[in-house]
Amino acid sequence: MQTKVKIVYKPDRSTKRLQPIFMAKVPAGFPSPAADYEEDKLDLNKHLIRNPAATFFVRVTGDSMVKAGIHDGDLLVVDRSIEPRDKNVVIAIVNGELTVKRIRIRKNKLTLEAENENYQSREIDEEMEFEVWGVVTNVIHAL
Amino acid sequence: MKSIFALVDCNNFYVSCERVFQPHLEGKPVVVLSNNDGCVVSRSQEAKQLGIKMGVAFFEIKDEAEKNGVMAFPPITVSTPTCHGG
Repeated sequence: MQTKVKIVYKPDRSTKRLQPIFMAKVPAGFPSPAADYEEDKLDLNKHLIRNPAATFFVRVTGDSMVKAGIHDGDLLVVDRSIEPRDKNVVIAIVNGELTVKRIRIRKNKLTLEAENENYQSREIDEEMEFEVWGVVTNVIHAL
Repeated sequence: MKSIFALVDCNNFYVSCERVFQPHLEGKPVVVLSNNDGCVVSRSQEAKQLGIKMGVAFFEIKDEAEKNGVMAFPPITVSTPTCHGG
């Protein structure tokens, strides 16, 4: 099934959770004496969201983008203020639907590609109703 | 130093907002209702052309609206911004 948008969320930035990043790798042998020293703290909201006013989280369904690492049920971070460039993964409005595609912008030719052999590329011509809704910056995939 | 003020007005604001997340509503007759589906508080151009008046109580026009394929939505509340798309 074509990967498309199921629900759009606005990020909740009211909570703050700073998770420490451990700089020492998880030991399989002798523990590092530096393991007690926590380095910088990371706020996922700050890490994932560059432009809060233009960023949305989007839950997707479908498998047409699996080779790009986007699976059914994943959450995408989408920035609507980024100018789309060739090879970006974007949320595109095609025939009134919000779908997920890789955009190819080449000399005079605009194409939307899937990331799954079972799906075909689609060239955008002037008659088609097409618009880029936003650029996907991150995927959050539960294992 | 002088202050400069900008007044920004948007067409059919609530309807326009709904259309950002539901692009298939473009070109269709759409209205947004006040809390508890009370009154019409925003009308798309197509809904205006059907003669739906601003502020009309929705129950008064519901049957007529349904016949004409008008889609009615609650307002997107600012405090809990969850929008449904697609």
